[in-house]
Amino acid sequence: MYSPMVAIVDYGIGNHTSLLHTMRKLGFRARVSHSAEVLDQADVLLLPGVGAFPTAMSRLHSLDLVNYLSRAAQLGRPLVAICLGMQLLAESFTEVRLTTGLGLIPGSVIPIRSPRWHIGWNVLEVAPTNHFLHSSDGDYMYFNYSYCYSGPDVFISARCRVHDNELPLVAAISRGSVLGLQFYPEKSQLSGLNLLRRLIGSMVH
Amino acid sequence: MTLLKRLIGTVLVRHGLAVQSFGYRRWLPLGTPECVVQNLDRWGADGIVVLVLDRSDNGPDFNLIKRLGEIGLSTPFTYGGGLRNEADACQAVRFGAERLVLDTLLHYNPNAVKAIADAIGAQALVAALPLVRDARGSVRHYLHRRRESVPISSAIRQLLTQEVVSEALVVNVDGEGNCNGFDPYLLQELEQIGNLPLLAFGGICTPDHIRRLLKRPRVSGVLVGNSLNYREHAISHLKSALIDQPLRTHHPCIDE
Repeated sequence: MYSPMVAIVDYGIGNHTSLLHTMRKLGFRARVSHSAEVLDQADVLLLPGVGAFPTAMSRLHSLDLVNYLSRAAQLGRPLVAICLGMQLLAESFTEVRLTTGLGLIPGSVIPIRSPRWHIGWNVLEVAPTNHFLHSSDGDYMYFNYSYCYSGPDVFISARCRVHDNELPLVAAISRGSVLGLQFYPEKSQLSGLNLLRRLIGSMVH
Repeated sequence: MTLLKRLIGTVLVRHGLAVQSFGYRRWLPLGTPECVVQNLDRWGADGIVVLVLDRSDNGPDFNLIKRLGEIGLSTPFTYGGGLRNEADACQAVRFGAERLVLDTLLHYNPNAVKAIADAIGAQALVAALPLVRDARGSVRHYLHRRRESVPISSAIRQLLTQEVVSEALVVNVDGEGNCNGFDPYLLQELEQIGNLPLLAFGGICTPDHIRRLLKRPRVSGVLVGNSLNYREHAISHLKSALIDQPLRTHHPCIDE
């Protein structure tokens, strides 16, 4: 039986070790690399990230990964970006200093205002139109971030709420074969692992 | 639905072994950290914190972080112990820690805390404050290295109010290793500094101890250590007893 190959894009920022082992635990073949040759072999590209947007973009530029990821998206290759990775999909980051993102999904990244953090477990509210995530609607996922995506509704695939009486935050975005997850599916126990398995399976087939 | 509070399993490590600590003075070995951490992962902890107690002069235990990262834990993993600078922090994250606990550095090098926050983001940083009360009841910051307590410094207060870190872990030093509950005066002190969410650790064993803490609006999570080692699926049992609290219901992990 064919096992999809997942390539975790290595740009020096992010928790690659645990993501790599999670992918293997789920039965996928997985590699960590920044080499175009290795990334070309993948059925799905995974863009992880923990850290600051400007530093991450600078690392992606220095490894010529900005052009690589843009080309991959244009070709319709499946790309899943996690946490900071999802934010990098946007056009810009306006805090600290204006930084241009990958621009694969229209929108920008702005600070969460009140409260300043979204740390912990929260329920995913999936948009009815998103076929990649619909099975995870109502599932608890683990979030840990302080900046969020702001952009047109058409690209928003899921939301979550810190408080009932406040506006929801964006939990997932998508455009074509590019999907961004603000939460950590690999750290969301059974609900996150099920999401990853279904998601990668459906993106490949 | 809204953001839930967390019940966090805590593993103390000394000389490479997971230990049960009694007031940070006596230690009972429990086994390998990997084994204890894997149990917490299977039992549905909302997070796992590993605190290595003997690394203050040796830097972080990268070997341990890497070994734990390679398990492929499906629970958020936070590491503390020996972190000195930005390079240590980036390496720890790369090897598998989602968040880092800073303790000694807060007191001895607050500028390094800011540099780490710039590199990996404040959302990945927790400030640990071991606290005690003196004979007059004043809350003081306990410095393990010097074995003495001092007032909470203005530099630390600034790190908290400027939100250079995203959560403060209040450690009940005198309660650690016993089962007398958490001293609420320690939390009251921190509740007067800034607006950071607070975590509590030390002396917390029973559902009632946890319930009292979770009722406080600023408390975002409770860390439980020793008492989890007495029975299988201890986290699930605690959560069942706390069904009235804003905690996530346990779902078994994929391997079960």
